[in-house]
Amino acid sequence: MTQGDTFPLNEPPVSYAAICCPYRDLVLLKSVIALSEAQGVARWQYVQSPQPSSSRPDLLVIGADRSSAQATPLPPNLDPEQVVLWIGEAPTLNNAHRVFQCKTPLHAFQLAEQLREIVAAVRQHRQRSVLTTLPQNFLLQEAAAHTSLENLMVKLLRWPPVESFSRVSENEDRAFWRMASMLSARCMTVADLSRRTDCPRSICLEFLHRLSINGYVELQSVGSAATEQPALPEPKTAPASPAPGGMRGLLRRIRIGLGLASA
Amino acid sequence: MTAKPQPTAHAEPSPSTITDEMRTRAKYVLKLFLEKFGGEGGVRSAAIAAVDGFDIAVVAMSEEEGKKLSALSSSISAIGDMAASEVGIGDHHQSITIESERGYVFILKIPHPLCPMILCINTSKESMLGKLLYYAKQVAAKMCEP
Amino acid sequence: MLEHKILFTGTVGAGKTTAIQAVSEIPVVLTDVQTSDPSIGKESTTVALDYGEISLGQSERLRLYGTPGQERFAFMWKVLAQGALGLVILIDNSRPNPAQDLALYLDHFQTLIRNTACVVAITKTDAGTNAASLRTFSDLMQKKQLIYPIIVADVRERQQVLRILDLLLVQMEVRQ
Repeated sequence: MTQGDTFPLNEPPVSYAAICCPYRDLVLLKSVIALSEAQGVARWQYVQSPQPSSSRPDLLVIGADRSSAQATPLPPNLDPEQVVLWIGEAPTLNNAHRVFQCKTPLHAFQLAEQLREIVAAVRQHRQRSVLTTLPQNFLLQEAAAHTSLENLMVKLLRWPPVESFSRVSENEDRAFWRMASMLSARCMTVADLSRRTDCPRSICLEFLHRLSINGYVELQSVGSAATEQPALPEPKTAPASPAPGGMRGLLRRIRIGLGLASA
Repeated sequence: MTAKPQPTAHAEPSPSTITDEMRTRAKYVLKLFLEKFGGEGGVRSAAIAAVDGFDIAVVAMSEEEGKKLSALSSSISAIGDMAASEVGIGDHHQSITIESERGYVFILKIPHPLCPMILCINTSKESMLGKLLYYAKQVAAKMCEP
Repeated sequence: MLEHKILFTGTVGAGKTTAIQAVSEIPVVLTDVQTSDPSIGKESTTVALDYGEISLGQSERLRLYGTPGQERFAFMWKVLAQGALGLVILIDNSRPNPAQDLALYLDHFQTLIRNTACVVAITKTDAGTNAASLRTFSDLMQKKQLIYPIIVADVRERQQVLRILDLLLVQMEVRQ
């Protein structure tokens, strides 16, 4: 039994509906979902089979009983944004669909593993949806308590999960990884982060917003006692050879030597 | 190419290349060596180890000391091979002598066909190294006998 | 000649030698010997060090050292850590308890990494590896009050090894 995560208390439950599910599979599904909630993976909410007029559930489970009279939304009718758990042989879908699969006969262990992945996919989708509307809403709320964003020091509390880094463009993906690595070494302001990564502030804020939703960063005022960073200790195993141009020069030459100079 | 141990019919883990027979023989030859060169001869302790640092037999030292010496000798031996090869004096070293204030550590290759090993000897400054080397090579030859 | 060093450590078979080979300008110098312990799943193992290098100019070079993976060679870890600019820890995710493996290296190299930089690269991940299993590594680090980049990498690919080194350099750069 893996150690469960603790879902944020104010996170809305993951809604799910099931169609074409044999009774046995539906009972097993609901039991494993209940266990998943008890383990702290996420809160869940079962909804009746989706109606055209109702909002789409976060997860649609399509069971193995395809002979059922219920309508089965097969591609291309399936909403490309819909997260789907397909039980049995899944059709080939394009990359726009997020489809998870469990083979038949259905087993609890296999289902539990897929549910963790599904929760991560749902959270990622929710973050994207929020970011396309008000990407700075959290930070703006925080900034209201301070004089300006310039005075916010960002502190990384733990290394963020892989889903925080997924972006459409490879360049922005790379920027996110570098931002997180910088923050792992020291706290810095949003302006510093933007300058060091050569990324627009909006991209930095988007990344920080993703991290802040799940509590991976903390924002503090510059100059507050809490943000006083102790001086970095003198390295006990510092390189013996002095480097021309100091450490900055050395790191620059290493980047050139590795072919990473454009970073 | 050294033959790899085959799994048993019941799919148990492959046996180590260090056999009980090897261990028994190693213990025996080291005991004889110590009887000949211990005491006034200057040899304080000795060990035979696999080249990857696992101890096979030790005499006149604790098991813990034997494990440490085996691992250390393995690393030194491997670096010796690297040095010989890089400098161009051969593919492998044959022996390495470390001299310090209170004695020597002597490392000799044992080119066993199935399980290459190293002989490590801790000896005092009074030892006659030439004679020691001669008999150490006999120990190595004994270990390589079928 | 000015010499600088980056160290690669991690579990047996995690890919230390492979990672160095992917970026070294010279053929990697090895101290591989035949194993007597079949449980490690390899025919040979590093017992002293791997060595590769990258030229930084006419009179300067970056040395890439790989340590032996097994704990009985921990004396070599201490020797090789002297003067290193940073550490890459490679963890073989197919082993029985990779989080415990990571804890071993974080503990042994804590002095080095607290003063320099570190990247943890998880290798040999497969279709069964998921975000939850990767979270065990960041959970472990959080318990030790450490934060270092944790990435999944195939160290047979040069670009992926360069990505690891990029993140190492990024940490060193912000400390200046």
